[in-house]
Amino acid sequence: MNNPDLLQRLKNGEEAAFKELVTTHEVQVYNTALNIVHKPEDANDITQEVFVQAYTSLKDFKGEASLGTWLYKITINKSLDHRKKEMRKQRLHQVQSFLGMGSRENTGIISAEHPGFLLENKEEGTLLLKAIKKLPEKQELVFTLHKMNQLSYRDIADVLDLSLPAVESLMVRAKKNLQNILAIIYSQSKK
Amino acid sequence: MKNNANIEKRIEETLALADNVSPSEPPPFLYAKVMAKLEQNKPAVSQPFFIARPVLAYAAVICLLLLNFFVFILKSENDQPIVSDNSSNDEYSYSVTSIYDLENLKP
Repeated sequence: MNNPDLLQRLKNGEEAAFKELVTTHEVQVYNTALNIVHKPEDANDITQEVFVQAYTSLKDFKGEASLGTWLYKITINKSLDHRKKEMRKQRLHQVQSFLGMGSRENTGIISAEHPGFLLENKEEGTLLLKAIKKLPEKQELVFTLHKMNQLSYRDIADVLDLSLPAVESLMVRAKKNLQNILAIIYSQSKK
Repeated sequence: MKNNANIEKRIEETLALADNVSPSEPPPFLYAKVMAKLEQNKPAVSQPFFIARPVLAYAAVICLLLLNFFVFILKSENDQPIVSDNSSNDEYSYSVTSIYDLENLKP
């Protein structure tokens, strides 16, 4: 993931180097954002914001971590911020609709539109995403980055500033919690 | 019992989906969009550093006012006449010889 030559060229302000950074990491950044916010349009906006921030804060990047890890960190922060804003908006809409002040649009729960699932698995995939969203934040991130972004435990530890045993423990707890959440969902749907 | 086994199987199948999420392609022209955003975020006109910082701008205005005040004080002191007699007038006065003077040259 490390490319000291590219970093030096970026610091020199070479536009071609920045283009290389974008084209090399756009799939990684976009999919990370998509796996957290679950909506392609939002993931697109976040991806653009990530590269804008990367461009403007390149002078502060000391190169202690790799460019890939640095971009993962920016993406995760931006995606979580975006999700918090969306939740605040949703709560406001709910309050407004309760008081009869707001419009009836946008009051529904944001549905998952993740395009990464095959058509025949869309329904189960949506259930899985809903279950993942119910996990505590750290567990959710570890599970998503490992399973959906195929990051190794070592890389996840670097991205989230955690120790390797902490990542392993979070992964075990995430799986267990997901099994419990899905069990509740499936047993309720049986009734 | 059979029901529980069925649910467990469904849970395992659902969890296994997370391993098979295919990576999605980002929308096209991402680089161009990023560059456009960067261009948008640039300040329209680059301001000189002393205007960009309000503290410096205010300090500059105060300095200018003080300078004006000093110049005004000094000028009002210098405006007072130093010599009040007519010596300077005499010094610079010269006798005009007119044509009438030339005609009356006879003693």
